[in-house]
This record gives sequence, C-alpha cells and structure tokens, in this order.
Amino acid sequence: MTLFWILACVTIPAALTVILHRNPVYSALALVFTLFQVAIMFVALDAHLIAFLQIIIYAGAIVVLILFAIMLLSLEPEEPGDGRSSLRAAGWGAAALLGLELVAIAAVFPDTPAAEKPLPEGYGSVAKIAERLFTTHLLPFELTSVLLLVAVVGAVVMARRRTGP
Amino acid sequence: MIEIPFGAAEAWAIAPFTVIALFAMGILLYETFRTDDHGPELTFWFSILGLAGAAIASLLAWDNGSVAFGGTFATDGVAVFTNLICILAAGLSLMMGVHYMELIRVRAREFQPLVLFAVSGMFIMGGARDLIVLFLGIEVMSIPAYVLAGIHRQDHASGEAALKYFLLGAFATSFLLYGIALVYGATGTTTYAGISMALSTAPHLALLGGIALLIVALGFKVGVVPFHFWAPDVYQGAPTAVTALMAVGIKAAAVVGTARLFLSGFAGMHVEWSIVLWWISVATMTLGNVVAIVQSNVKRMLAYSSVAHAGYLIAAIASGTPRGGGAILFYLLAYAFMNLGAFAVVIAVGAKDEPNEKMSDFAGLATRRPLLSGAMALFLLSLMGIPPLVGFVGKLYIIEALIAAGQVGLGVIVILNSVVSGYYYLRVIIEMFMKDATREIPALDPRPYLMVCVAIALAGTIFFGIFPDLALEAARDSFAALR
Repeated sequence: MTLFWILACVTIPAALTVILHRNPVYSALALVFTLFQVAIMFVALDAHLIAFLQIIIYAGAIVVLILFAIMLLSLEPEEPGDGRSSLRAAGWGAAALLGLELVAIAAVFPDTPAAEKPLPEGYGSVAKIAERLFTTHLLPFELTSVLLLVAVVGAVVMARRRTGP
Repeated sequence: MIEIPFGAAEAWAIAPFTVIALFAMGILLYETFRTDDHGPELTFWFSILGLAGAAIASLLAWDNGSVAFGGTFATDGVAVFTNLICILAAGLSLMMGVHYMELIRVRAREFQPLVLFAVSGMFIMGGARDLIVLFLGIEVMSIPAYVLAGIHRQDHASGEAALKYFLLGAFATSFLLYGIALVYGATGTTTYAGISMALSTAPHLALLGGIALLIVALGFKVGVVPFHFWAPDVYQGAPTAVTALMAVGIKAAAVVGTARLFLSGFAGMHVEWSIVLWWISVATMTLGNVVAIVQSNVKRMLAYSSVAHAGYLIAAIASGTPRGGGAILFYLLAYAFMNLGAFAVVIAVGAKDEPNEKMSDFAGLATRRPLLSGAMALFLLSLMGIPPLVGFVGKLYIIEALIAAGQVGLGVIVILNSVVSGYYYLRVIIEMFMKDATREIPALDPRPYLMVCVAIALAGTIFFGIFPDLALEAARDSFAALR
C-alpha cells in the first residue's frame, strides 16, 4: 500500500504535466514517465507481463510514434490564450463527468480489497495469459490478426500516391 | 500443454469468414504480382466466386442454435440470414462498381478486396455472441469502409466523407469499448449467455451506464438520430457503389448485431432499454423523413431515407420479441433489394465526369430511358411501402410485430412516417415521368453489369413482394430459436 501512495504522488503530477505543459515534446516525455509509473503499479499487482507490454508498446512504440508526429508536424509551443473557450469548457465538463463516475463506481463497489482474495496460481504470468488467449479468447485472437491485416491494407490504399490510371 | 479448442464446429462456424478473407487476400496477391493491366472483370468474377463460396459455406454451416468457440460465436439461422443479405449487398455493389469505378478512375484492385474484407467483418457481427467478438467484427467491417468512403481521391467530397466517417467512427469505438468495460465490470463476463444470467445480480447503475454507452456506439454504426450526423455527408460523398454497400450491408450487420445483443444478452432488461429505443426510433424515422423532403440531390435524399429506414428497424428491436427479430431480418432483405436497385439506377443516370445526381437531372428520364425509369419507380414505390412490392410486406411485418408486442403507438407512427415518405419518393417519379428534360444530357453508353444489377434487384423486389413466405418463415424461425 505504501508503494501505491508513493507511486500515486509521482504519477499524478506527471500526468498533469502531460496535459498542462505548453511544449508538446515535454508533454510526450511526461507521458513516457507516467506510463512507466503505471507499469510499476502493474508489477505491484503481480501482472508482470502487462507491465512489460505497457513499457514495450505504450512507452516504447506509441510514444515514439507521437514524438515522430510532433517532429514531422513541427508543432510550435502553444501561445498563452490559444485554444477555444468552448472546447476548454467541454474538456472540464468531460473531466467532471468522469470524476463523478469514479465516485459512483466507488459507491457501487464499496469494499473490494484486492489483497483479501488470494490470487490463483500463476496469475498474470505469460503461461496463464497465453492459455487464456488460445482457449477462451481464441476467436478474438485470430480476428485481431485479420483486423491488423485489414488496417495495413487500408493504410496502404489511402497513402498511395495520387496518380490516375 | 494446453489443448487448443478448435474442432469441426469451430471450423464450420468461421468457414464463411475464412473463405471470404482468403479470396480477398488472393486478389491482393494476384494484383501485386501481375504485370499486365487488364480490366476489372477478372477479379470481379473472382470476388463473385468468393461470395458464392461464402454463401455455400454459410448454408452448409447452418445448424440452428449451435454455437462454437465456447458459446461466443453462433452459426444459427440469424447469422446465416445476415450473411446472405450481406453477400447480396456486396455482390450487387461490386457489380455496380465494375464500370463505375473505372469511370471515376478508381482501381478495381483497391475497391474489390476492401469490399470483401468489409463483408468478412459483417459475418462476424452477424454471429457474435460475445462483446469482444462483436467489437472486432465492427472494426474489421468499419476499417475497410472508412477507406472505401475515401477511395475516390480526385473528389474532394469523397476525402471529406472518409475523414468524417473515420473520426466519428473512432469516437464511437471508444464509446463501445467503454460500454463493454462497464458491462464487464458489472457482470464479470462478456458473453451474451453469461450477461443474461448475471443481469439480476449485477449492480444496476454500472449496467445501465454500460447499456447506454453501447446504444450510443451501435446507434452510430446503424446511423440513428441523434448519432446520424455523419450519414448524409458520408453517403453523398462516397462513390455510389460504396454508398450502396454502406447503406445496406453495414446497416444490416449493425442492426443484426444490435438486435442479437439486446434480444439475447440484455433480454432481461427489456423494460429499461425498450423505452430508450422507442424514442430513438421515433426521432430517427421522423427526422429522416422530414429532412429528406427538402433535399434536391437524389443521392442525399436516399441517404436521409436510409436514416428513416433505420428508424423502422430500431422500432422492431424495441418490440423486444422474436417476432420483431424476424421482421427485422425480412425487412433487411427487402431493404437490400430495393435500396441497392435505387442506387444502381443513380449510377446508371450518371456519365463520365457528370454524376447527374440532382433531382432535375432525373427530369424527363422516362422518355430517354423508359425501362430504367420504370425500374426506379418500382424501387421508390417499394421503399414507400406500396403493395405488392417487397417494401410493403416488410413494413407490414414490422407493424404486425409491434402490435403483437403491445406497441400499437409505435406501429401507428411507422404508418404515419410511411405516408410522409411518399412525398419525396413520388417527387422523383413525377420528375421522371411528368416533366421535360431541363438540359441536354449526353447519351449513356450501355453498361451490361449495371443493367444486370438493376434486373436482379428488381426481380427480388417483385418476387419477395408476391411470395414473401419463403424468406419470412426462415427469418421468423431463426429468431425464435435465438438463445
């Protein structure tokens, strides 16, 4: 529990930096930091594979992609006063709604102390996840491969140079 | 060592999907390695072969009520019926596209495989009995659809349609996933069978939130008010052959996916969700019909008409009975024939670099193309619901199912809306038969594929109008056996 509070104290400021900093590159780097913290939380929850996937996929691949996008679009740091007030209001509204939902969920599930239930043998291990993936979730697993193929084909069709036949 | 649960039942269950996906990949590979550049016919017939193979696989796999993959995927009558409707929609769209795509300078090698991939996603949606499978089916169907909407690169409107569809589609997907997460949190499972058993003990608030978000996401895919804003722009901007696929195939798969989820997974909460669907249905058909009246572009008018028809379909889901489900399947079949026919005629009126989609372009069409105008008139009358055409029978069964379920008010609203829709459908007919052409329209070259497409749609519109029992019995039985 102590670990959780320490992590929370570090993660939340990092997450706030992501959305509040005016320079998009700093935001992206703060995002990497936040994702690492979340990965540590996964380790604390015995979900080692998820923790590694979090680092490899999110902190590694996706943030690099975001950085590429920032560099290629050469986004300038935001000037003070930029951004429309209506959008800002919508953002605050959505945030308030999510906060409300968090409270509601806490009210619906008042006591779910995760530590009290003993975890099944090998919980969160690669072997267990692989077993679920190839038994219970066999169809979604196979469908995902088709989905990725379709996405690649679609991206190639869209990105092909605009030449007439 | 674990045993992978993949037996004969599983192989048969996804056989239609496998066949169509393999054919799509086959066309992609063939197009990659061939050196000469001949027309679109060869790959078109190859696609038709794939669709026919998938239809046969669906019929062979038809085993009422049987489920595979641990109950997450069904090969029951509902799935097979949906598969056949989607195959019909894709086949006729491809047929419309053979010459049309050349006319607008889109390569067949890009158009045809994407259509087949979209159909493979529709198959998954028709049989999904698990929220994760439903999600993947929606995505496999939608991603090719986003690309297809923007496949006409020279056209600004096509690109705009693709971007709009993609952004709003991604938004809807996030709603879908959030809804799935809430339902999973409340019930502890994503399978429909598990959800329906856990409904009574699940925390009510989380469940209601999940259902509300799922209605938003699926409502977007079907194109119902108030999540319809993308529909007119996307339907108008996309190439017409793609619009036909979206308005019929994607709508059919999304409606059946929604119907199966609500009539089996959430059946125990019918009282709660039927009120929401009641209002959505009334708003959708009324707004679709009223706004369609003021359109001056036939393609856009058909887009709003398609929004209105989504309203009739949602009304049948709101009835919450297997009878309503059967009415949905039959209506989708009817809608496929008459709507695909109408879009095919819109393509036939257009010429190179001249879409001719305005209402005034149809003026005096009857003197130049009497047969085509006659076919269009029959499609529009069927969409309106005039006997003995198939649209009338379809609406009749929806109204009958609503009355049987005690929703007389909704049935009356469906009838009133059909009367309103008569105004704009008849307007096109009046333009074609009673007005003189306002301007010189270039003579149209004969396009055999397109004419065959119109003929097939016309045959279906008339045949199933006079002999509806053939399809109706199958539609009813399939939903009665739904578990």
